[in-house]
Order: sequence, then C-alpha cells, then structure tokens
Amino acid sequence: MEDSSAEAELSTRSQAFNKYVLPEVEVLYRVARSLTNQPADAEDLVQETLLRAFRFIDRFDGEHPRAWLLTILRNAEHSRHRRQRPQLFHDPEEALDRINAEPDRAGHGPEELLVDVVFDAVVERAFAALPEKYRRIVALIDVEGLSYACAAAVLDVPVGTVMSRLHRARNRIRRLLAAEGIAPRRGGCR
Amino acid sequence: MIERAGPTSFQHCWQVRRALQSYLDGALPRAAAEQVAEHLASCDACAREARTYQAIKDSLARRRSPSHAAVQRLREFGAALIDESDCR
Repeated sequence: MEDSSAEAELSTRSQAFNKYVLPEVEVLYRVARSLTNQPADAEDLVQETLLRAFRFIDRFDGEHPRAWLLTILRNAEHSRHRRQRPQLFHDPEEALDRINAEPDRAGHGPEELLVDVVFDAVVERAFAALPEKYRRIVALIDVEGLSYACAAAVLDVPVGTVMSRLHRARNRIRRLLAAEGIAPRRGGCR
Repeated sequence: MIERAGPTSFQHCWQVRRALQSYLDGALPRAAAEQVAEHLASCDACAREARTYQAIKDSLARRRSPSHAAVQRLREFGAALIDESDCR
C-alpha cells in the first residue's frame, strides 16, 4: 500500500515537472545566458535550476511556473557566485557525457538576411556601451523576450525599476541613432 | 488651442510619448493602448517615433541566438531526471 502511494507521488512529481518545468527550458537558458559570461556557465546554471526544481516541485502550487523557475535560477546564480566556480553535476550520468562531448556550443543559425546592417551595428554599439544595470534589463526584455514581471523576478527589483531602466536604456540607444543620422531627431509635438 | 487632457487621456503627443515604450511592449491596459493607437494613426511625428523604437526592439531581438544544441541537451537532462526517479 505504501509502495503504491510512493509510486503515485513520484508519478505526480514527474508529471508536474514535465508539465511546468520542461517547457520553460529554453527561456531558462536564454536568461542564464544573459546572466553569465560563458555558454557553459549558462548550461551549468540551468542544470542546477532543473535539479532544484525537481527537488522542490511538490511544493510548487502550479501558479506562474516561469516566475517560480526564474526565482530558483536567480538563487542558483547567487550560489554559483558564492562558489566562484561553476559546478558540473554527475546526476544524471548522461549529462557529463554530453558536456564532455562538447558539441557545437557556439551560437549558430543564420541571422535574418533582410537586416539593416548599419542600423543593427549602431544599436549593437549603443547596447554594448550601456551601463551594466541598463544592459541587463535590455538583454532580458528585448533580447530574450521576457516580460517586465519576469525580468523583475530575475533581477529582484520592482517592476517600476525595470520599466524606468528599460525606457532610459532605449532612449540612450535612440539618441545614438539620432546622433549618427540613422533615426530621426524628435519631431515637434502638438 | 488644445483642451487639457485628463490623467488617463492620450490625446497629446507628450502623453503618448511617455507611454509609447510600454505600448510597444504590450504593457498598457487595453483602453490606453487603443487611445495610443488612435493617436499614432493621426500623428506622423509620434508614429515615426514609434517606428524608431520598434526598429530598436526588432534589432535587439535579432541578437537572439540560443544554442539549439544546448537547449536540447538541457531538455534531455530534465527528461533524464524524470526517468531516473521513475527507475528508483
């Protein structure tokens, strides 16, 4: 009897993990990429997040899985900083094999062909020149496509702070575009 | 002479421009978004401003290049966690 209830619990955990966590893997990886310097660190961070999520999935109430997972990821990132070095996990075993095999880690996939190269180059330069606190927000929202609320959860700041930093950051990018004659200067208002 | 607008109105350019980025991010309430859209349809200067910010957003979005191999490995890692627990 005990065995069947333990089995049922396990199955529920697996189902919940499958339902709430696995669909978010790509978002977690995108966010991890924006928080770490190396793709390998991002992968380690997501692995740690998945392990923690699996361990604690039975405490999750099913509401807002992305926000829950991003909080776990943020905490894992804090722990990773405290350890000062990334940690590889040995369970499950396949993970090590895959990591050791080092298949194509570099970003790939052809960029859109119809791109205004000059515009993108200036945006790129302006983005790189942003102060760190602005760049992180832009990376999370405009590059990785997170909502204000999710970015706030990742960075542990209020949504209002996310909005004001994001808007200032885009204003800076816009100003550089205008200075280079690529974007129109602000037109007159009525 | 333009009549002074109420706090939730978006008939003046300065009001629209303050809300423009939230509008483009889809973060404005529906009624406010409709007012902004209406303004943009009739104001060339604000519409140009909106196109510029949208182009910036699009340009930044093009930087997205997740490693599909890494995402796949992580999905497999997650699936393996389930498999391992099921085997115990």
